[in-house]
Amino acid sequence: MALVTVLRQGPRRPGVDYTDGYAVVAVDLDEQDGLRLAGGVVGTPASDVAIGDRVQVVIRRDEGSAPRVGFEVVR
Amino acid sequence: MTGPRRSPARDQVAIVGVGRSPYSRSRTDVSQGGLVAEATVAALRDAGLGAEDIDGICGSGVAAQWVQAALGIPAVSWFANPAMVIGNQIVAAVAAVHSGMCDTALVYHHGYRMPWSSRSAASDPMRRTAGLGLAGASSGWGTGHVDAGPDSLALAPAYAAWAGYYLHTYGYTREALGRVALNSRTNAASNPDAVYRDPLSMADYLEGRMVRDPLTVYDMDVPVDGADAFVITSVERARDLPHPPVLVHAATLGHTDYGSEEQLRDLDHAGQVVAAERLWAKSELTLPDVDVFFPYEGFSNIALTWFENVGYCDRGEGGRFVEQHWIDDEQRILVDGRIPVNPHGGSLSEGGTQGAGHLREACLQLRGAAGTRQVDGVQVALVTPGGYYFNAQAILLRSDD
Repeated sequence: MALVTVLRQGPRRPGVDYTDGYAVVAVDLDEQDGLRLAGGVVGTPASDVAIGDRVQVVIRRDEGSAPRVGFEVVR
Repeated sequence: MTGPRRSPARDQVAIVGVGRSPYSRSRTDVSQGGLVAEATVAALRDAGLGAEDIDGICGSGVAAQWVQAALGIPAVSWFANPAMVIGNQIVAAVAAVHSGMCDTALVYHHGYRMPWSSRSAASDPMRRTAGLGLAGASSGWGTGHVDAGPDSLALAPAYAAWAGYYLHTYGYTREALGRVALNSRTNAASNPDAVYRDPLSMADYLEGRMVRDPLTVYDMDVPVDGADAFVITSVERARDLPHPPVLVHAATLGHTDYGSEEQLRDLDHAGQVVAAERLWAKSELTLPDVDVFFPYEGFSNIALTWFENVGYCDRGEGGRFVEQHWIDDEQRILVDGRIPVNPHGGSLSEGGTQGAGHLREACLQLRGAAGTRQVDGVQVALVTPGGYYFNAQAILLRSDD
């Protein structure tokens, strides 16, 4: 995980809850040098997300929203 | 990248007029074009010129043709609408005047609260549908982002992410960002046109509402409705006009590969590095010649890296440099006890027009016309608008000796 911010407010979207912050991150993928993706973090409180964490790409399928890339922290 | 660079336009083109609309937190009765009209008319009057004297137009959002019609400018031989921010317009206009595409150019930029920058604008049906006249309101720079929503680092969230990266990588607490905000607020007290002039303490700052970690409301430029305008012409013509000419000594843009928000590799590959290196390579002046410094601080962390990239200190030392040059009694930065930083209050307190206010203040300081905030003996001003990816710019201005 190369970059992390926590959004405290923003537009509404299914699967996005700003109450305790919504972590959005940029991730350098192991699969290809220089390939970086951005997306939201699911399954981990925003306060526990930090630069350097390892994550796994997931495809999120929230009702009312198009499928999109997200990340789960791997501990 | 090192070594001198060609600079045939050096000191050949001057800023001879400056004008502004008032900046306001909310002027819902005035359109973007109306704001630009106010600023451009003021700039023409300031320059002692009329519509018939203008033959080039260059601005952000609002189309050059619209401005030409609004002001009744009879004929132009050059116009352009580069994307914001103001350095793009300045570089284009300097090149156009120096090359003879036009003789005298009218340059403008408007800050206008858009749905992505202002909650009240987002609730205004008119503004929800108002684009910037660019690639689309969700992708103001046309860099390819199709999602400005909460799963993206497009635009503002990326600056928060890079601010977090800066604190994390170089070992800072939020006080490093806070000093940038306090400096702007302290200086804004001397600017009657600034929208925020009340004192801000570090305790107030640290308790500020967090918007995108680690940036609070105090770290992000205050959305305003407002516009600035400039008149640019050859130095020969400038010397016949009412105000002392402000010479454009050098002006650069900077961009790198992987130059978009989340793709930037690190801060050594930011556009700021290129803009600053090329600026000095085109200059006869050096950093110690600078009498007043205008690092853009639309996000507070951007200013810290400008200190690094223009050469005041090494990478990652911007926060410590500011701390070392912090005047506690005055609650502001004076580099070497001498050089004020954003004396007008910057984007954080005067109002956010993406660097146009910084450029206007630099011109006023060089004219000796900055009122109670005039810095003694200003001969050289360094203005560095923009951030890390698609809008890093540097402009070195000098008085005409």
